[in-house]
Amino acid sequence: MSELEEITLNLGEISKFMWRYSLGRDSGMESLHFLRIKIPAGRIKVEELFEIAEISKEYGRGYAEITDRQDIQLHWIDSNRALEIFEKLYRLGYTTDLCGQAFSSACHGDVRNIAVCPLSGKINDFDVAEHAIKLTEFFSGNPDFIDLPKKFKIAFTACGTDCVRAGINDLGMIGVERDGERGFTPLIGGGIGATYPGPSLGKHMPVFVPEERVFEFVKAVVEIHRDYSSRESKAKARFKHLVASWGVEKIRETVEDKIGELEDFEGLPPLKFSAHKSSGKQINGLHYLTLPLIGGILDAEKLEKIAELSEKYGSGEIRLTTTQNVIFVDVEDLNALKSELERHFKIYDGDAFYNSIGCASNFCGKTKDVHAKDMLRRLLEVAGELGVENEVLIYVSGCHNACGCHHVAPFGLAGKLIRRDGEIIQGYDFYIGGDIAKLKMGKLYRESLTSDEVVEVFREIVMRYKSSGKSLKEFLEGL
Amino acid sequence: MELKLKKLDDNRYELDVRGNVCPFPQIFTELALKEVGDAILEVITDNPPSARDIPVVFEKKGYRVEKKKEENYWRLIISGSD
Repeated sequence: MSELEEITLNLGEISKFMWRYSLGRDSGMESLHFLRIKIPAGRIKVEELFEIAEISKEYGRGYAEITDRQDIQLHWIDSNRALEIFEKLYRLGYTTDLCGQAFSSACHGDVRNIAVCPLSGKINDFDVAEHAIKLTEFFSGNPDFIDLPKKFKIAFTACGTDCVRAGINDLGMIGVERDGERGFTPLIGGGIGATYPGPSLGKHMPVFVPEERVFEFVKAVVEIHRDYSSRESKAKARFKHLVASWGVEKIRETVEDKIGELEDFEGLPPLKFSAHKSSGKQINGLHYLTLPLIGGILDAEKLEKIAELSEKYGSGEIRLTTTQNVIFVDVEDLNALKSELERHFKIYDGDAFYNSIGCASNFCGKTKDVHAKDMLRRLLEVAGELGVENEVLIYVSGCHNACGCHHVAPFGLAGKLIRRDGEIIQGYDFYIGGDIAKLKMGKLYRESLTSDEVVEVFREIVMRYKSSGKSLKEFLEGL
Repeated sequence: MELKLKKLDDNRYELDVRGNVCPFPQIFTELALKEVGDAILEVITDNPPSARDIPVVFEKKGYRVEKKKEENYWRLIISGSD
């Protein structure tokens, strides 16, 4: 071929952004693109938070939300200005999700933000974040791991609770001790989206992974997903499908073929869900304080205020939670921080405000009014009215892709369009009885309800529960 | 890193950006249009958001964009700005 028949485009500086950054597709609220900024281990310094607030103001109409994987997500991003934004994030050392799910075939999946106990290292001295940060650095933009059959989700916790919903990750690493040695025992193949083989909870691989082998273990599992998960179609490409097809034992054997034998570890430690709510004492004598946010919704001014208050009262570090909240750490004067927060934020009372989540279905376009986060707000208000705000936990997804994890909550909603009186309107399926920490899937209780009917059914369940004399868990099991 | 623009005929080039995530197909299209001058540029992408965005973005800039679905990708034919 002669020189004239081909022109070479030198990508220059653009190359450094490739496979580290992308824009996701929005189709609602007049937003065409979102930017999901991975915050490794959910830990962010105030200097960086100020910068993200600036990016939000300049490029994202001043809006921001915390996701249930501890990312910060912006919307209304103009693709013409993407390179400016990527450059700013690059200087901050942040990357984004690759959002390869838009492709019609099974390809370009990436390792998503690795979820970490938000109080790791503060309420115990087993700090799991270093594993997540090292793995994030390894996987981000790594040419060997940017074309997974589909995305891969990893979570770490070692605080004695399941604060990261480990069982609905492709790989959930539960911190344990064996003969005085720290390590992890994994859950594999969780994922509650609608793809094959349907909503699945993680299965325990009964091995002990000592801390010094965590990196090679996780890398081996992701390689198995990359090399053996189906590429036949998107619907069959998640790791949960491979785990269901192969079984845990074959996955373990394949891992051991790669990295050598792992020691047995029977018995998953009993866990309870925790959103690390309210405030508490850290092991260094200082305090943490959690700011509850309904659906993780913030704006640039609030991000700046959070950064300011962290500088003033804490250590200048903020932690994001998998229940879409913000935690101030290393706080000396808790009361002073609380009273100043009350001047700028609505501080809700009740566990439900800390524990509950709602997805961004208003932006992705999967819902019409009433959207997932709005539905969540309505139910939380009703929970408050009925005095059960310390007992319920509500997860709302805009569709059966389950971004709001509705299957694993005591009260879960999944949006869908329904027909009423000849009109297509927003509806919800109502699930009850899920419990992520106990690896228990909820059951479908009522189908195709309008938003008003959802509220009525919720009220009815709560009223019946209150007069039942049973615990909420027992009552929901009996329904 | 570099990309190749393939010459299809005297007045036509092809840019194959399959496998690239949004917004890179759009960014590469912008670069390619600067190179091909008045020639027609055919962009091949399999990324749905980019297939949605490229016609809108470049029509706003005065180009004519024809969008064709071919098997599992799109061919976006972009001709001279007004």
